[in-house]
Amino acid sequence: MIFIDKMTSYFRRYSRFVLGAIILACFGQNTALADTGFEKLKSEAKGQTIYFNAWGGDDKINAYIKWAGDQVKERYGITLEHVKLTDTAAAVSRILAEKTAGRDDDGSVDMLWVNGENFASMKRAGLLQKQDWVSHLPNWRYTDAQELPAIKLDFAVPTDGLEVPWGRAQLAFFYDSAYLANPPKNAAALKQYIANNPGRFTYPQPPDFIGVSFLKQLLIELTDQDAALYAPVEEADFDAVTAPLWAYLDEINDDLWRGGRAYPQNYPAMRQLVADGEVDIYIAFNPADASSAIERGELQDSVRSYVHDSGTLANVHFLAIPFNSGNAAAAQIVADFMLSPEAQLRKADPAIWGDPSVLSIGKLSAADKAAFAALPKGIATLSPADLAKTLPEPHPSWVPKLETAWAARFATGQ
Amino acid sequence: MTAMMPIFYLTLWLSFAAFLVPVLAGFAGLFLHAAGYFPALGAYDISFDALNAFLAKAGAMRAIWLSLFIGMMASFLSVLACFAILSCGAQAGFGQHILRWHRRLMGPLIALPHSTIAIAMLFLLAPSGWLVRLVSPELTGWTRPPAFGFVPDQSGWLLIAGLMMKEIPFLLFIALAQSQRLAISSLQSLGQSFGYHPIVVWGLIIWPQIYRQMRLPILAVLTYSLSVVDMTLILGPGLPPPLAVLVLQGFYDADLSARLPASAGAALQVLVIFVGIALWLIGERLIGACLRLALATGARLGFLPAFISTIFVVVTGAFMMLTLGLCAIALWAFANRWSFADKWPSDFGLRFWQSEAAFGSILWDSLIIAFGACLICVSLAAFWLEGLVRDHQRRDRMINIITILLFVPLFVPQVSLLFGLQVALSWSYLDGAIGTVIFVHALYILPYVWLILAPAYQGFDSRYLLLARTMGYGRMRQFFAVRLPMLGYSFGSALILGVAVSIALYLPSIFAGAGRISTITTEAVTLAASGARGPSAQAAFMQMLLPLVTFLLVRGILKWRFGRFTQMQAHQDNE
Repeated sequence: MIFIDKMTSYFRRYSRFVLGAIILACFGQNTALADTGFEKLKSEAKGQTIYFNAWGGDDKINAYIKWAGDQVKERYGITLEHVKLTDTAAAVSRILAEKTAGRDDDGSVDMLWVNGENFASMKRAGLLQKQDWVSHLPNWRYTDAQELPAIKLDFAVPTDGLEVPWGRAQLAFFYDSAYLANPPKNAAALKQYIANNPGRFTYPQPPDFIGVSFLKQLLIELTDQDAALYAPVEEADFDAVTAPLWAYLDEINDDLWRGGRAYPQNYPAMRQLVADGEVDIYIAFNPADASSAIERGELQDSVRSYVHDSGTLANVHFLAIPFNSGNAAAAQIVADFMLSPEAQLRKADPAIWGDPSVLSIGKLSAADKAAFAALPKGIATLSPADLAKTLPEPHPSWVPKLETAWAARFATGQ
Repeated sequence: MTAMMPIFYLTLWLSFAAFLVPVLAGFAGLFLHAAGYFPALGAYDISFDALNAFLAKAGAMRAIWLSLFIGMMASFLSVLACFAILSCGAQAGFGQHILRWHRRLMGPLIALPHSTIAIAMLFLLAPSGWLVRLVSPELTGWTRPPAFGFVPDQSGWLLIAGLMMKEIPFLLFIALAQSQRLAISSLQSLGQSFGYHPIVVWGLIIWPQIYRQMRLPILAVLTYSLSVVDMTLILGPGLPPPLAVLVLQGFYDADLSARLPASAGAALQVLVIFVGIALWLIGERLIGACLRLALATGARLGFLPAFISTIFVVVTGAFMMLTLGLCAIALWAFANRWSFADKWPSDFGLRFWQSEAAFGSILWDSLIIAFGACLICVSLAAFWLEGLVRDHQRRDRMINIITILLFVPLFVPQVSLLFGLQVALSWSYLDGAIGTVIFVHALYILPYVWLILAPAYQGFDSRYLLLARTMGYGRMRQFFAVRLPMLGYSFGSALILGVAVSIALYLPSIFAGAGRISTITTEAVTLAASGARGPSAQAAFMQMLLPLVTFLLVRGILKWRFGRFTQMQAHQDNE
């Protein structure tokens, strides 16, 4: 009996290698291996639970993630738990604590919604998967990095296949047309507007993502040294490049909401302020934000959107898998599902979320093409032509410097 | 029985160590990081660099000052208000009615988490809040909210008010429990016979005696206020925030090297607590000296009654406002649409409830954690006490020692303790498990449970047990047939308070839950800070409901099952 037990345990231990060898022998070609690799991943992923750490401050996004969870449960037997973050850096912090503690497997985060500075710092600290997993995903074939370079360049940092693009974002402004007939479409006009309407404009408090993005948008519009913004900040004269921005903010500060002595925490808080009529304008990184909020009854239907004449910041947001996820197989399957035309289509629907797709429409099937073309635009969403002008994101190293400089000016309580 | 004592003490200290070792581990981790030792970041050199970097942060100095100011002021005013309610409420007539109202409100209010109270204040006081809506546009002429307002507020006074709303009912609860030990009516008539105003009698004779008994809970309140996070996120100040929030921002910074200064900040928070407590103790002495001086000189302190009555009226008014704010939460939770200047939602419905189906599991997790932790704490405290009360020689001294040791975790700022603990937990793969969250919650519940059960055991007339023993009852049966029913009220209070403390815990849940386990409070703070009013109202409403239901349920069971026994105990107390 003992002998048989031992044999079975040996067999169990080595069966993977044996099977692997057989598969290797049968399929010489790379693509076939990739496909079976994915099939194998699927069987490995079945029954796994992944903890998807994603910013949870927006109802509609939470509802979309819940839908995705139901789908992967049904199709792949994967349980998706949405860990709702107030700040993505909190999850990065936890992964770092795990690395500190030498916990190299079964980490508490399996998948993370991330981009820009957080991605850059995770990549630097070695908190991501060791190798490219993104280009092996079956749905990767619907993307086109020629058409949309930002899916492989996250705020000018190469993604190296360590994060899969999930959605596109563009900074857009939303105003209540009941109070404001002609919205200010550049930095100078905005300043004039604020001076004429004290207390009716604000922006999320940096280091909030949208708040910092607003600073970057202003900086690009105000400075005449744009080139410096796309190289590491250490190579530039920070004070000289940013001087016009601080002069601008100093001028508007006293006429902001609450006299600039308090700022909303994030953009949904700003959206609520517009809904209540406390301020006239809010900012979001999604051109369809107001349309979907109106659809859900959270915003009055007099709200419309606009962008600055010079164009606005645009970027891509991603899904990454930490180095110590114990369920990387399931995380890859879920990431692939999130990239599928079906999931991307639903995400782009303004009634659901209204987040633009990262797929290349030209590469889709005829049916999917038609479905994307048929998406309703929403009453407060600009046409693609109006959104055509975009500004690329500055190098991520500018973000912490801007945050610190902002805090030194406006967060010391003096 | 004495032969069993060494074994009992061994188990006592072992179970005790299980509680305190993680605290020490957390502390050690924190100070290593603060001193600059952080291998995962490639930092090995012990130095003051991290501390200097933290102090160089924008607003660090003001943050420290804000912490001290808010913490000391909120605690001082809470104690003052608590005594005002007690002494004015002891006077016949109007005061008594109000005291009864406060007592009725107290139970449910203690059960409310800090963050719920902050959300209620936000919903009521914001320029677009319910108060303005109720009087607009009729009285104000406003058809849209005014451009000025004080929520969130940078001076810290709003946060102080919020903390007071939470701490006064808690202090009142403890004070009422302690005042039952004193023969208040005879003290009062004695004082009055010397020609003092009844309220001055309270100030000079009765308060000091009650205060002495409440010192530890008061210092715990002080510690919490000196390092409050969840309320600050909702009510401000935020430019800069008090120290604890500034430290937390450092932990959440995308730039990982910010962890070192943040750890130094967390260590600094420990120092702030020490300074705060030291200042408090000095202030305590000073006030004590003044009172003694007044007694010695026979000063009548004529100003005191008017002063105390004013506080009493203001605080009572504030609590009425708070209940209005709580109503606003309930309204928002069931409002489909509520535009500005409408007094009521124009459309009621369940829109927010349908979109959040995941709420069910969060609710279950919260309940399991709260009741699991309470059960552990109550049984542990009962086990310790059952043994201790039999050791007549050392009983009181041991209970005092344990009380002080149990409060240690409460005197360590949560943000400091928990970051250190997080490393230890993730090293042992224990974070994110529900058992771990229960354990960490138990750490914070046990002192309160102990605070209620220990005096109950001490005051218990052991002759009842003797009687049971003569009837041949074993230990277990003595406990279940005699002790538990007779102390039913105390056990019930311990359970209610424990559940309330557990539901309210924000940082411990976040750190130990590793984000994997959400409680109703982590959810509510996330949603409230995000400003989306419907969902945050919904979460806050659940926060209200959960402890309230517990409160009513436990009270109901106690009355139904043990009512007659508690009267027996009360009768004995009066003798």
